[in-house]
Amino acid sequence: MKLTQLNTLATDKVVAHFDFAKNDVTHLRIEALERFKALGLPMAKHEIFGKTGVRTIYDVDYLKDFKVGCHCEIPKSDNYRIVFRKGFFSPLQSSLPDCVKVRFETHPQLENESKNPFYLLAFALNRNFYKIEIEADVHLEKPIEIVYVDEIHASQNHMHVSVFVGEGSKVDIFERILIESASFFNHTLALHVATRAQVSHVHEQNAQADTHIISNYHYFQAKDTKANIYAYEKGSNLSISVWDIFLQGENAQMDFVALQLPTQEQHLSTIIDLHHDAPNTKSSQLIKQVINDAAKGVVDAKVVVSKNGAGTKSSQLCNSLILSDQAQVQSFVKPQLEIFIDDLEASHGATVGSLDEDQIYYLMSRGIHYERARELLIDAFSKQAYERFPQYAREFIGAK
Amino acid sequence: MLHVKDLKVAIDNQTILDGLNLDIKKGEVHAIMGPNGVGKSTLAKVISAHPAYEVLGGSIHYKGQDILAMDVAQRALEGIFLAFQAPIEIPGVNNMYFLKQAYNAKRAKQGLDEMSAVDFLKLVKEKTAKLGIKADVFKRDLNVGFSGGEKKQNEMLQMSILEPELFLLDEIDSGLDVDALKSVAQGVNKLLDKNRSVLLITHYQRMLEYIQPDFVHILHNGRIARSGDISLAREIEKNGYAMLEDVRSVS
Amino acid sequence: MSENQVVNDILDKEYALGFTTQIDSDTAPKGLDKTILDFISAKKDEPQWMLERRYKALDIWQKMQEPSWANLEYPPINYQDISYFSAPKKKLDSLDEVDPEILSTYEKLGIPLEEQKVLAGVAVDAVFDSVSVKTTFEKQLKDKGIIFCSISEAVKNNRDLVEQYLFSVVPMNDNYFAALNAAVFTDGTFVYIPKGVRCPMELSTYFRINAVGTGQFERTLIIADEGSYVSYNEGCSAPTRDENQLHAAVVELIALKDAQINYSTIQNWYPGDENGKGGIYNFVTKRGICKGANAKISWTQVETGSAITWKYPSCILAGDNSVGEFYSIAVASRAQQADTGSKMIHVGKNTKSTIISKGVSAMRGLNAYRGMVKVGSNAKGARNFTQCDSLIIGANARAHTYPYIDVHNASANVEHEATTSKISDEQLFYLMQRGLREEDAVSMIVNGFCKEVLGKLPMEFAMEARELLNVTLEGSVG
Repeated sequence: MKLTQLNTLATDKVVAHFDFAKNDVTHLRIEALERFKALGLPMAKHEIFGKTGVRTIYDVDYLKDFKVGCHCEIPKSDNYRIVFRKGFFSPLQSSLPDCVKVRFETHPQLENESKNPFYLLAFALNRNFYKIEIEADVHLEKPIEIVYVDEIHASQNHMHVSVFVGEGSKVDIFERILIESASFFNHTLALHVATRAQVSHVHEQNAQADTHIISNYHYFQAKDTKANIYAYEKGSNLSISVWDIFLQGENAQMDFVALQLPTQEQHLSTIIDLHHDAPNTKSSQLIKQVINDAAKGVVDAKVVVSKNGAGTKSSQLCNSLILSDQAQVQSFVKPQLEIFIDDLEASHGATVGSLDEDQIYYLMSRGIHYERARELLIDAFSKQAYERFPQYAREFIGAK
Repeated sequence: MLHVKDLKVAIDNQTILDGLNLDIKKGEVHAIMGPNGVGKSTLAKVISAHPAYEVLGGSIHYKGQDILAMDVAQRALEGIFLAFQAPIEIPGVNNMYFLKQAYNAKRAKQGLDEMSAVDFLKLVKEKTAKLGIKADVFKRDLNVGFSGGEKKQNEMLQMSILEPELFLLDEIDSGLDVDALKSVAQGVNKLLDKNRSVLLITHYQRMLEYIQPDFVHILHNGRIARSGDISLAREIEKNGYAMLEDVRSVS
Repeated sequence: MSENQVVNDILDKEYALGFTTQIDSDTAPKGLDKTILDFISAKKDEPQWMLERRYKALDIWQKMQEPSWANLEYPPINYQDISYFSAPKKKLDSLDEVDPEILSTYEKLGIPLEEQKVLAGVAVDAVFDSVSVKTTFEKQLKDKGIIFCSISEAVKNNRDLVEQYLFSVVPMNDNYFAALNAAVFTDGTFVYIPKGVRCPMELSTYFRINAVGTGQFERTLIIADEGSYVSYNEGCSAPTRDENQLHAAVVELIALKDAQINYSTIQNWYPGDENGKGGIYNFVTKRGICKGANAKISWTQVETGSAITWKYPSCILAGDNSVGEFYSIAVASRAQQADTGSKMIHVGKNTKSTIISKGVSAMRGLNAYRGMVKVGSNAKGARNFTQCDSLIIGANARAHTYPYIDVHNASANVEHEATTSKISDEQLFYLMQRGLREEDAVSMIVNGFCKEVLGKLPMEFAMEARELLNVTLEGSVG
């Protein structure tokens, strides 16, 4: 089935089509589906998804049903691990400390405000709602890996996972999207960060080159919380990461670092919608793009400071490096600020450019070959983002 | 000149000054000392009508009149000048232009015509020469990118042009090395005469070596805990502010 | 604290240009259909070809939807409740016959059409409601081969130029308001500077909406032939009225090889009251094309008026080494909404653009910067620098920034910077401690904030703009 066909199928038919069990969440699936249909699939003129190349996934005919039973090799690791295979939790491949539990989510929250059709789609069509609970006041010594694997070609796979981080806890979440099939993977991760909790979260997307991935993130940060988010985007044919972040409690702080490295005909998009909705909240964003060949990179980052956000401090910086002379190459950057109060400090900056010829010349004059000089400068550019990634993730994300 | 009586002041509902009394006569130099956070700067800001501070009680008379109802600009035009500890930067506002506006506001108050740009430039040149200030400070935007020393020099320049009668010097020694401190102090001394008074706020005694006070007051618990002459400052230097705790138990 | 109150009081100063002029007007019946186009065309004694184009534009407009992407809030406009033509009744046979009432209107506005501008060496075209009432210096300019006249005259007398260039930069179907304008445009200014001529004086148009229930739909076309130079300024005002009046203008600039056009606007349409009642809806399309190599177009605008401003003066940098600039000060006070910015489209090689935008929001004002920098795949060596700063005065003001950067070429270099700040209490305290009144202190800070842009205006207009900033500022800051 193609995604465009979902629009035309009657809601009850869709539910029957995907063979969902009738239970307490069925009506929520239907509500999400109806909202999805009301919004429709985004087209070229869409405010947010217009530039993301999302239409390329509409033409693919995905398998009618979800096939289970794929078996993927997962790279070894000593970390704690939660593995989702083909949208299902895989306890045998997972390993967790006692203070972390994976359960079925019986009361998933459907966001009323969301206008993201893919979030709604993931809500409607996921196989099971899962939640990950982390107890209060735990400080885990090792990161928890959340690994998504899939090997069935030409399939689609939707997920909705909620994470609850208990008060005062401190966790590292290393989220790895290792999809090895030409499929459409659309998942939501909703993180509820309770008072005083601290989360470090690495999103690694390094999927196979013919995969389409949409990641929907919802962050809800309570008072005195801190989130460090790192996004590494390298693989897939098309990838869109949508980060909706709500700083809802006083003194909540969020720092976001992204490294986006599209090559060939890839289309990678980072979309951020950040809300300062409580006093004295802080945020920073650093987004680095290195665009090669005929690839496209999109950054659409919005900061909203509401009436409640007195004392907000927000900064945002997007740097793009275009390395290709091909006509199809594109960097689209849209840093936005929406401000509804006067008591704040907000700034943003963006640069788009290529390598500095004078710098290359200087390096070459010291005996370094042209190609090597370029490499040095490209490394220097991405290093500013890469260096900020936590140690536990660095060795993996540099590898491929 | 300045008569502060039973002054009670709060900021954000927190009482800072609680029944402070102070008398400054024409030509006198008073130093206010005390540990950090005791409310020294509050006193200077309240006298100059900073809007963040709430006067809960007491009175401030200046040259015989009650000034509590006057706003900051009115008090400034009456001759009260606050030299800031950390003068704020105002991008885009040319230093010279600003100073001319301020100067002409003062002239207007005195019933004089505005001074022409040419005459004003002459005046500034004369004053900067006297103070030994490098000329380019006033070509730039107000305090923007100034070094600590330049900011203080700029305050001195403003002071010398506006010719106030009551100088409120709020820790002007902060962030200055000894040489810079000396030159700022010299600048102040040049401006002083028997008709002008000084309220000097400082944490350290070293400032008092360069601007000689007639009286030294120690601020503690929101009021003047002890008063004396320069020897009091020396005593503080030797024994530290901890001795105040004893004072309190006595009083 | 009393501070905000004082600022609001300052901001709340009366709109000084809100008077009405009593003159006999010839006004079209309300509504819009083909017969109105016939009416306008007949009034202006237009050739048939022009009327045909109006028909075509109306046809296009009727099939279009009013845009909503700018998130501006206003009640739906009833386009059938507007009169699309209003002109002073008395017909002008010569320039000396301008109605004395109109002349005195312009004097009240501080725009005496004769003496002072003669002294200042500025040639003025004045558009009163729908028609151009007077163009000064026409003859002196003619000696140099410069054409400076109303667009109606140009339609009749300069058909070749008009046919070639009208709708060439802003096509009829460009957007909803451009289509509307193409159908009903009544007057506006036409300028042609011949090859190699440097226009010896500032050219200036003053726009005034006077009649009730009318809109103003002027269209301006400026062509700078190879190697020529012109500096053009426009000013706008309107009476204080409870109703909202529509102003949908189009400006097209064409700079050929080595030519330069500087276009400055001081827009002070009636902004409406603090509750958002009344005021002009200023929906304007302005675009220039640097057609030849080394051409340069520079837009400077000071936007203090209008209830709603929807305006993005843009440059298409087609010629190699061409340069586009946009300098803007936009003030939104009271209940004003300003959505403004610029588009720089880099097509040719080594093209350069600069955008400096200063937005001031006060009271319940909304100021949005919306801009696009697009570098095409052939625009080797394109450079852009954008800086947009917002100054917020008061807790209810809003400042939004929406830059779009779309680059298709590796050799491009695009830089964007934005800051948001407020007038801090400490800054006000500092200035007032030196004896400045609060309103002077606020004005000083705002002028400092806008300094870079004010410096780009021609001398005579910089004074006017500064004055306007102070009044508006003592009225809306800015």
